[in-house]
Amino acid sequence: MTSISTETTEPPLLVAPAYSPDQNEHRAAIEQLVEGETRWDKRLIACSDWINPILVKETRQALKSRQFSWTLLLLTLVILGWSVLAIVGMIPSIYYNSNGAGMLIGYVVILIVPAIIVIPQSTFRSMASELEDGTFETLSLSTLSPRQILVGKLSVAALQLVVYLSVIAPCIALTYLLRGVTLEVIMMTILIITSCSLALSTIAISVASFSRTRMQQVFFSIILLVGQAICAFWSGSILIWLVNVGGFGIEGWIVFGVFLLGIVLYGWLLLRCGACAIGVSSENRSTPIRIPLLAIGLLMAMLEGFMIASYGNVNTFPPMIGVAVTTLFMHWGVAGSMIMGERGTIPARARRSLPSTLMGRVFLTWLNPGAGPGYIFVLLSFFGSALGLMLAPMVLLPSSSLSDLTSLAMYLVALTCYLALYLGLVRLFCMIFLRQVLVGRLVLAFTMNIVMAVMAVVFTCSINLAANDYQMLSFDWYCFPNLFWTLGELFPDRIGNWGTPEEFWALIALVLTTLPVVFVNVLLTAKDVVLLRIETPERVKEERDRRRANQGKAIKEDEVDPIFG
Amino acid sequence: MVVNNVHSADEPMIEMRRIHRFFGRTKAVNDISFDVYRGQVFGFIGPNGAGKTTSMRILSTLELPSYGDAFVDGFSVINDPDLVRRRLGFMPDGFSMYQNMNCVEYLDFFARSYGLLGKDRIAALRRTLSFTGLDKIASKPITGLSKGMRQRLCLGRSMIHSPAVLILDEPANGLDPRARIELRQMIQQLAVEGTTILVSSHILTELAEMCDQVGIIERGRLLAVGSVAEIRRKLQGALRVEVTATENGEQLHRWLSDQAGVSNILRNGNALSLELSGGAAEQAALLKAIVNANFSILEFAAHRETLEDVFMKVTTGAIQ
Repeated sequence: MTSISTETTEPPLLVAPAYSPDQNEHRAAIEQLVEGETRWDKRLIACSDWINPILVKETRQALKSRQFSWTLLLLTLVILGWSVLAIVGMIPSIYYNSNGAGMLIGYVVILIVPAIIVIPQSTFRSMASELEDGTFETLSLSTLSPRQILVGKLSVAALQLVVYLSVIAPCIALTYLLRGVTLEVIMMTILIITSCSLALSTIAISVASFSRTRMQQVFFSIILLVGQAICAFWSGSILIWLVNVGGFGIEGWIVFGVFLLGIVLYGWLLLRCGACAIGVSSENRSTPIRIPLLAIGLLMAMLEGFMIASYGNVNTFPPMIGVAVTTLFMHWGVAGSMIMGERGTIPARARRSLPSTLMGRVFLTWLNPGAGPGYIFVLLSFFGSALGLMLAPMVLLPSSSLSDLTSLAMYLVALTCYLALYLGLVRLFCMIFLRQVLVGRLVLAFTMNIVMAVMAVVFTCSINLAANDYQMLSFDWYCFPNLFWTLGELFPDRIGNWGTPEEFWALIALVLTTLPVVFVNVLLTAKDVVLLRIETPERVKEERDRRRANQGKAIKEDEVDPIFG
Repeated sequence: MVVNNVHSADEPMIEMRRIHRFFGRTKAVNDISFDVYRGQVFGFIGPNGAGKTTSMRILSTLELPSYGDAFVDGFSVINDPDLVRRRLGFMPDGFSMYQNMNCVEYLDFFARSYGLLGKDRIAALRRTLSFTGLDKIASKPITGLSKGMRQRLCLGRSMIHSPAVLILDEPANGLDPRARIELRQMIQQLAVEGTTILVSSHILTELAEMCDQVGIIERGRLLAVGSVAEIRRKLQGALRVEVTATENGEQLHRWLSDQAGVSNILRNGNALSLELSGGAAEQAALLKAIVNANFSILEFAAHRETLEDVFMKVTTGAIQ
């Protein structure tokens, strides 16, 4: 055994320290991590028990990672450089001029890079590398739920943002001292950057959950990067404008509130989709996605109703309602075309949670997995919320009568028919052509819908051109499969308008074409509706009760609540 | 170590019920059924592409079977994967580790992920580090670990929550002899403590030493299940016995030819090799008869087929 003299062997510089054969170092590492050295360590370790484990792990990893260290270092240096340059450049006017705005613009531009580019990309890589390296499988075998995994990783993005903001915070405070910037502007700036960063991180983590192959990861990574660049440009432009204008008043805050609400709601939906993508295949993955979809649809309708009530008048009601129901149509059209790709089989595990009461079966059956219940769910949700919006003038305008709503009613009927026709056809095509396809059905169904819409446009325009001697396009009743053209013609531009005869007959043709499609789809949905709930095995119930008793009243992580996740 | 288990001891901890798994036209797993009881070590043997890993992944809830069901501690891998996962530790064949972490941080993360809090987590960490011998390198970064140490870490991660069932896919792959022996001892120790273990390996001698039961799988089909001795007995028509006399080899040959149950005698000087129908009792009776016939015997040994022999007999070497 050779002995090493501590006097002669000095560790060389810039070389990683060699591990001492002395085990005390390792023992100390265990003690430090497991129990902590100081009282504060012990308290923090005790607190960390209740934090999402992913957050603890990712924080440990992030603090040691080169990417984080370099970003932080560069951010600090650039901020420092900008501060020095800007102050030197402003001397001597800095003493009597308001120079805060110019300084703040510089900091905003600097902060946008880590917040909007680096953080979402690192969040994407964090999830993608788990899937790529195979570490996700071991992670998924733990008791962590998919939601916890995604939220944990998202929390790390938020944590990184907090660190970057804390670095820049003193400099932003300096801009306030330099005058020319209000607290409102500073707050709005930070809020916009934070919300953009978190929104992009949510998109990144959800997209990463779907991309299982290397090719998909590269593809989505590029798409994400393009999206980030666009977002960075627009948010930067808005923020520079905001700083120069000096705030945008109450309307600005309302718009920002709506934007924030949209981010929260669609973020909730995206996280749900991501969690379903990485969850157990035998789980009911449809209901947890349909609930946020419904919530978003209803909130969208309510918000649009509020806007119409606040800013509309007799002349602007029809177009405003037209735009509102069109946005609802787009929401349900995109969601519905993906739902149509769902397979019609409900796993035994999902059947344990089927509604069993009469009311439950009437109202909740449509949340069950499968394209059939999904078809009814989308149609009812759209029609219900759009009808509510359409009837708003009756409440808001005392002089209005049912006859005034003709154009709106025609438009609503057309939208509902298009939704029913296109989704119904996509569902039937999926049943015929995608019977053996298990992977990528939702994307295929969505693509099928797009292809159908494009084909309808090409087909109707070609016929119409031919009918008009290739001179001009003139709307006629047979152009009804072209939803863009027909909806454009039927758009309610004023109260009480029956439209031209061509428009009227196009609507009639559309209704007559849609009815058989709806009939066939409803008939095919019957098999999904008659499914009965199956009893949870006694041993499973006992096990869950036992665990519930052990954990007190705490909600189990793996028992997914269909509404709150 | 307290094994996390609520099932009664006389019921199987692992039940595979007609498991099928198809990838397109390929039948990766084709109608596999077997049971493993508490504290047993079940060895899964088969050539590459036989369906071992797929079966293990199905049992670990990482993959769904095309048909059939599997149960861990009585819970279905299809319908109650969450409950199965709480009872299960899985050590995959190829494993990858997180960057920028050391051993104790890695184990700490998984202890937290399995819901171990406070003192339970501390106890689990200490126990695992000590059991796997990782306490000596606890603060070493994972990326700097040797293959053997990584295997230990992976085993530690799989057992940190004291699972009732451990599934180890090729755990001894690429290990040096010492590391392999140590790993085997760890597995045996876990089995003694009540953990049910399903292990696959290409090193058959090692499996033969530690497994209570083995299952031989080829082209997705389970060809034989049982203890090595049982399978050997089923396969072996007659027992080959080697007899070496000090003298009179030819006389002994003639004498043996007249004995009931003895056939196919081969002689090389005083060394004879013969086939004896029957088992241990017939061997003992033959030895007694030879001694009573006043032959001077130097060696009398039954040639036992090793697991490798059995494996070669059962499998055809066909690949799919």
